[in-house]
Amino acid sequence: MSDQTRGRRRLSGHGDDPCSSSEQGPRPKVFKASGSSTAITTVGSAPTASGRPSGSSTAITTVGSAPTGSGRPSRYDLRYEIINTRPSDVVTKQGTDGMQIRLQTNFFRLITTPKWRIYHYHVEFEPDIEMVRVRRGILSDHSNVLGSAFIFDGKQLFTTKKLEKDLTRLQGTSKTEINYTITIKYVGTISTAESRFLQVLNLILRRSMKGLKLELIGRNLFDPNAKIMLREHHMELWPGYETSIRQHERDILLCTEITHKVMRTETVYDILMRCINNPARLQEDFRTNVLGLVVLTDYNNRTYRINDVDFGQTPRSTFSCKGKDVSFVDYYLSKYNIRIRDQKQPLLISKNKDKAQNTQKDEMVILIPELCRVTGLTDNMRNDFGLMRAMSNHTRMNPQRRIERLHTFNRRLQNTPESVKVLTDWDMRLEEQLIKLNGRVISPQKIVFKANKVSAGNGADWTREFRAATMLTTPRNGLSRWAVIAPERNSRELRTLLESLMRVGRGMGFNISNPTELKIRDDRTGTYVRAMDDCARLDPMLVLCLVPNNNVERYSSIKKRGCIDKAIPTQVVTIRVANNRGLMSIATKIAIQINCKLGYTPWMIELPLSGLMTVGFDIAKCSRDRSKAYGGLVASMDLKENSTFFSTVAECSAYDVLANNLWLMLAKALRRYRYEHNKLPTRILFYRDGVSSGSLKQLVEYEVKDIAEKLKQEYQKAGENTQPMLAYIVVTKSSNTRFFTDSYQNPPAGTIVDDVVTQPERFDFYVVSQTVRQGTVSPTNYNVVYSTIGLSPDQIQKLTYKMCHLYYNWSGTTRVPAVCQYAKKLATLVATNLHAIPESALEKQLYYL
Amino acid sequence: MFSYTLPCGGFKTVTTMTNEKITFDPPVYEQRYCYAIQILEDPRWTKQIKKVVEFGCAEMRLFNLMRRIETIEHILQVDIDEELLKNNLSRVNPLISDYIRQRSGPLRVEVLKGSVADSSEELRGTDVVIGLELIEHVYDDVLAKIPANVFGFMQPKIVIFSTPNSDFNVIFTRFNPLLENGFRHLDHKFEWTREEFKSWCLDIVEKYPNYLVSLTGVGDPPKDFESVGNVSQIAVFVRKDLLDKPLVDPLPSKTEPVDEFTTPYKSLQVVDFPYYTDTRTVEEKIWAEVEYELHRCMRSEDNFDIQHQVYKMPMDLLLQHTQSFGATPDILEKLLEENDMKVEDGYIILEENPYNEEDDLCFNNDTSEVSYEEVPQREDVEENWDLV
Repeated sequence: MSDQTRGRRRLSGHGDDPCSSSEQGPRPKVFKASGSSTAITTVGSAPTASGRPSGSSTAITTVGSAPTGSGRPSRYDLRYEIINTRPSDVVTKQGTDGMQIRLQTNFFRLITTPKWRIYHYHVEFEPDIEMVRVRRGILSDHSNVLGSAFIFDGKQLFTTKKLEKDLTRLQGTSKTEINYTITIKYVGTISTAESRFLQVLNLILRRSMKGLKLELIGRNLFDPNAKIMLREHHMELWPGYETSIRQHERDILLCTEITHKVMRTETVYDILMRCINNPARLQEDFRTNVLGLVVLTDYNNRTYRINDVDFGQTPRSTFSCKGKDVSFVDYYLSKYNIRIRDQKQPLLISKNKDKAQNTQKDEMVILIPELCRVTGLTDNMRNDFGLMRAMSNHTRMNPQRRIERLHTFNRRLQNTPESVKVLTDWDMRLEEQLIKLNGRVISPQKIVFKANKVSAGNGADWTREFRAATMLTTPRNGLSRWAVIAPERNSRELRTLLESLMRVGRGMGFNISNPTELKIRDDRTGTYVRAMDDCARLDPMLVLCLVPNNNVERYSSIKKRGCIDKAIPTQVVTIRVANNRGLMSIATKIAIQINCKLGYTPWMIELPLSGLMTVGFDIAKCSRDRSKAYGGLVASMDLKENSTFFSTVAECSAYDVLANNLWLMLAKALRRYRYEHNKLPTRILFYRDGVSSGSLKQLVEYEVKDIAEKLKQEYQKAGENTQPMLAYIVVTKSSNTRFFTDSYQNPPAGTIVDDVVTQPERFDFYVVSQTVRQGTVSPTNYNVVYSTIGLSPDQIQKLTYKMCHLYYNWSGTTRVPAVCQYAKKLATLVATNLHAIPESALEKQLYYL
Repeated sequence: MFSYTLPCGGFKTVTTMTNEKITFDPPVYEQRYCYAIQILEDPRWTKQIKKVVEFGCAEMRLFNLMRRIETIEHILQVDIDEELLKNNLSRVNPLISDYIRQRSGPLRVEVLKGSVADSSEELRGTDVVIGLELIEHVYDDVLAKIPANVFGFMQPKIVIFSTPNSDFNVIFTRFNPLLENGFRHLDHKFEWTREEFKSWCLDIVEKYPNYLVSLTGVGDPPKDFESVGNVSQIAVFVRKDLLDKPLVDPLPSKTEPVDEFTTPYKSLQVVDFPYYTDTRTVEEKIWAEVEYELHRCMRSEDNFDIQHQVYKMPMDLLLQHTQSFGATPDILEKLLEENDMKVEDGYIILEENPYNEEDDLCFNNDTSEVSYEEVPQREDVEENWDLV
């Protein structure tokens, strides 16, 4: 008889529709797996191939409620996990070197009293109640005892008000008039070092933000009413805030970053319509355009990644829903009163690998192109200069404007009574002023060329100085034996380019001889590849290909031939460059690149430490197969006399937290170091990039331990009588922390912050290593998770900054140490163009620049 | 009485009865929703429906369907169970996609705690009243007040009530007995036969002669048992002026005071849906699309003419992509000319953006010759961290 009561109300007992609370509205994405197999097709879930609604319909949200005492930690929870990574022997993490600088941050302090604590209670019901919602309902009737500020997850109760007695008994009555005894037992206070503390804080924050009338998308709040329309790009920018709250060095701080969400107004159907003018290639075109896109559906707030397209089906096709066959047309009409207009469109398939949604792995969700709105930017768009410029015109903010917006946010919270009430109930108050702190500025570094040293200057940019300098090392006879491949009709452009290259080369002490020229009749990929095979017989030091445009296929084929089959460095230049007004500065860049690709060094820095190997590691996802990724590892071989690097790359799983081939790669680098120096490095400084926030714990527990252990064995095996000295540093580029000077400017390059906004359980610091002319600079966060390196915090900070001066594609500092930047560049080339491991003969050349 | 038929002429449903069970496809509750929506969307009057009140809205599932009707501007969700409403409040919030593809007209949703028997101020000016499976849940005192409130005080254009048909229970009892109260649901205070419901309806139209009623139902009886009628019976009351018939009584004035014994409703939530009225001219709309198309064209290397070093967009393709916005060859030509775009041999010629390669974002593009500046060097001692 359930059919009659469906959609009706007031079932007996506590039998509230179990799915009703988890249907609409922006919600956290974590669901506890439910034991019940009674599939209820919920409003808000898309039909699935198996006939089951996506996401467990009988799900209970764990987040947004409260920390579960016994529940296994979900991915969402990991964000709130406090992982103590501070090496135990670190006495202080603060350095002292450099010039003091007064800075403002994007943090606000939450003021609490000295006695402020979060108290933890355990709650039991007699007789027992299964439904969490019912437990909550009954307990909420006792706000006279508990106050209005408490968090209750069904078992655990958290509050800032200590109850009079450690054991409180209350009487309660359910709607069905059953009497209950509630026992509330004091467990203890929660220390600020516990993950639960962080969870409770973030729940308080979320509650206090509720009154702001903002939309929650993902983790952040956005204001759709203040959106900026970019009609000519079919896009909207939604301004918003990314907030987090946690215990920092001394206080509980609220970090607020101004962000923008890119919303695309296109549906997948619009993309289909665009492909239709080429019927022969329709399926292929549509596939390439939509696979991998993340879409937001028109009927719920969920997002799905498109994994496949089914051209054999249409919205008229049926799927099994509660044991009955229903067509998609009827389903959307009866569930949402949405009429599908084009009933001949193909269907989209999502395998929803979203780890946050604890769905069955092989579950498929079928989507209708018309009802799917595309979100985010494609790589194609990211590479679109015009589009990025249009967007950054709206999103870029200089420090002054950013600070104003931060104050606006603060006022908005302070003027929203609901928000203030939540904080007051929890005995907290938000400070109105931004946190100020003292940073230090490391003095400008020296750049060492062949004949002279120059200061990188306060702007950390030596482009001008470089024009008059001779590169540190170049091949003895210069680029003496090399080849160029160019279409016959572009002889003029080739001439111009070669002349410029030789001219700038001479200025930098790099002698470029006339190359062997291979003129090709057409610009087909195959023609280039054949020409490469031809010139390989000449054993050239390098092959330069002049190409008509940035065609990816051609570029990839040339790179594959060079990096994988022939072990010859290649330089690809587009004709447009040769025609460009700024040819001289581009030629300079190309000449430096060529010198690096041959294995030589434009410049180095002064390094006051010998026997040091710095290592950078980063990951790039494979463009063909999203489950694959490549990890690049680049290690400095010598930074004292010269500055050379060893590069290696290996395939790894995109989902695996650990870079499983990491040790093998590091071992290769160590052997190479030993080959060059007859001993292993005294110190190893490992910069680990590409770590997602949720995987830090595993990284520390497995990867770091594993590397440290294997390293020890390697040193023993090698008969070294010393222990390896290692520092393992996790690099985070995307931190939300911002610094501004007292005069509303970006802080200068070399600014270090290691106090106040850092985290007490970490040995961490921030470095502002770049100078930016527009917008706000993003400091990079470094977290030293392991250290036996025997260097002071000052030394580690300074070394890190020094390492940002060695990326040869740019005569200035980089946001991360050069070894990380190289590792990223290498991994990206392999993951997007090569899809195979390059020839090892190239390992000592920066062939991927 | 009059005979109302849905604009679509009724919908296809299947009732299957076996020895073990009876099933309805689609389920009966869905049939009820669908029926109500079809009435709201009936082209005869859909444009005259701006304000809809649903009594006994419970989990507000019908709202999800109603809110897609673009001409409705005001929906009231009323129920007596405050906690139930509170638990489902988020259901009336707009979705993220509602901000992107916005409604063409406003929609305000109010969630109210109140009784169908009370004439609260909020109920004035209502066009449609819906009460699905509501009346059987109320005690006699409330039931007695419903006609006065709905037909006397509110006087909407359309009223839809549904209630179980107890004639059908003989089919259900073939599989399961009725519940201890003798009904299908524990909270039912009564279940009416078709005759009982009909007489309740006829009493109403007799007392309120401005209305005509049509009786129908959803959940068809199984084959060979047609005499038991539908699972759920539905009464559709239509005010005579909607059927172009003269009204018997004058309509109430907007200021007539409410009954002093009435309990005012408690507002739990008010939500305004985002809406957007596009005031651009057709040409402005077309030009925005043209800009988008031209921009896209420059994103693909396939459109790059190597010989002339320009991007080319075929006019016919542009027309094809902008036709749905009302573009014609003439309009396109005019717009391209107004915006100084170069057209040659059926192609729009697009100059490329100034050179900018990946690393140039951080590469100093300053090409002017700058004399070498000596940066003053501080005389500092060279550091050495090595242990001696």
